[in-house]
Order: sequence, then C-alpha cells, then structure tokens
Amino acid sequence: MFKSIIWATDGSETAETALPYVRELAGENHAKLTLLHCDELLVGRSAGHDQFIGDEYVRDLVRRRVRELRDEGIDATARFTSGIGCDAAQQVSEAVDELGADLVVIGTRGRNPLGQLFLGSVTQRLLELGPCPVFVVPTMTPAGATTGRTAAAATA
Amino acid sequence: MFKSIIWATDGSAAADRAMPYVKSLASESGAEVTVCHADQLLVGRGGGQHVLADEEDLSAKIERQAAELREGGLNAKERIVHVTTGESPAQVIADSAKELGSDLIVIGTRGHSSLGGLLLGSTTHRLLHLAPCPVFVVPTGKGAEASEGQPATAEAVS
Repeated sequence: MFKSIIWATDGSETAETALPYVRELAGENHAKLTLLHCDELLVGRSAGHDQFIGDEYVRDLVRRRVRELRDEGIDATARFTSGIGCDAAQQVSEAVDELGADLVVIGTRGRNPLGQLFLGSVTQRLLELGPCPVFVVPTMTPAGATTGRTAAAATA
Repeated sequence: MFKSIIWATDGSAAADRAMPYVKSLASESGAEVTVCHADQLLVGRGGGQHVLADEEDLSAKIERQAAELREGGLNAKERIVHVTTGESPAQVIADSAKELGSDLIVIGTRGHSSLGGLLLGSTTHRLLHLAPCPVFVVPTGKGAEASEGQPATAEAVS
C-alpha cells in the first residue's frame, strides 16, 4: 500500500525507535525507502549537546543504517538536507513532494524524564503541513514493532 | 505486522480519510479493528447532553462504517465510549489501546486547511502524548488527495 517511504531521522535514540517499524513497513510493501536527515535538529537532541558537533556522526549513522537496510534487501537511500535555520518539517514536506512519498515515519518524544509531556516540534509541524500520512512512533512505545516487542519483553 | 488496530474517529470527514488506510493496514496484517469513538457528554443537573448536536447521527455512521469493514472481511467492532467533559477523548483512546493491547492507532486529522486557520486537531495532539503505541496520522492536506485510492479533496466537495 506504500510505494515510497521517508524515514525522517536525526540519528537520536528517539528517532531510532522508529527503525523496527521502518523495516517492516518498507519490507512488507517493497517500498522505496529514503532516510532523510536535515542538518538542523529534527526531533531535537537532548539538552547539553551542541547541535552542530554531532552532525558528521549522525550522517555516518544514517549511512550505516542505509547499508544495513540494503543488506536486508530494502531499497534504501540516504538524503541529507542542510541549511542554517532551516525548517526541518518544511524540508521533510518538500522531500515528500519531490519523491512522491506516500508515508513519513518519524520517532518522537513521549515524556521526558521529568514526566512532562512533550511532542517534538518538528513532528507537530509536519502534521500541520500534512504532506502525506505520518506514522508517529512515540518514544514510550515499548521498544518497537511487534517483532521488537517480544525482544523487549525478553530483555526487560 | 499489527495485531490490533484502533481507528479513532469522531465521525467527521477528516476522520473518514483514515478509513482506506485502516482497511489496508488491517487486511494486510490480518489485524482486528476497533472503531473507537468518544461520545462527549455535558452532564448537568438536568441529565446528560451530547456535546455534538449530531452525536446520534455520528454514532450511527460509525456503526455503519464498522459494519462496512466487517463486510470487507475484517474482524471489526465498534466501541463507543461515553465521556463526561472532564475526560478527554484522547485519554479514552489511549486507555482503550492499553486495555485492548493495541499496537497501532489510526486517526484522521486536520492539517492546514485552504483557509489556513485550522491547525492540528487537539485530540490528535494529545493522543500523541498519551498513546502507548504508534499513531498513524492521516492529514486532511494536500497529501490526502495525492494518495492512491483517496477520494477527491474534502475541501473541493464541501
């Protein structure tokens, strides 16, 4: 039912919770998968991190994920966009138009350690722009998809 | 990949946009579907009143949609929960997901309208905070019309 899926990721743990779902959605649908990273923070890394220092690391991580997914037989590619003060949600939305994507998968925050409710601003803005359906994986989701769930239960 | 899917609907046109996705996701996964609707009540001394004047129509519509899903071969049932004004529909949906052990919630929501005035639905927003599982959000935006098998834009019709 999906032909072209975008996984919007900033390489954070939060974003990584979406990985099991990305794998299944892209695999089962034989969809083309684009890992999209915007240089500006996507979901927002935790406070205390310089937002620019880690970026090369994030690119490496994204490239590594692409290789892993390709090894699993998924048609995955990486796409990096950047810009100072760029609007990540807008960039995701533009990528959707450009690639003709029919689904965006994004990991977002549930609660922060203080128990405060939190929704990534990029996720929220993306939903407002509404370029296509968005599969939102909250951080509090117990370690991922149905496949991940048993693993999580086993390790818990 | 999903076993139990909740379709959270308020019976609106925006919510209806999620239905084709519910159908596809559920049939591909062989998941059971619960069409979940929160009937909001204003309760006073005179008894309870529906917050939405056309609540009975909406409930009937949702029951019809659940029946349509069943006719399509899905294991679907409706779940209409009455809530008083102190409770939020989002909480009701999240609680239902926990209770049913659901692994996906599908919800249609408003994106930017052509008027530019409508923002993300508040129930969707809250649900993303409360949901124990992923939430598949179907916007009523330009993306909806671009999607395969979607009807023409609601804006164009209305």
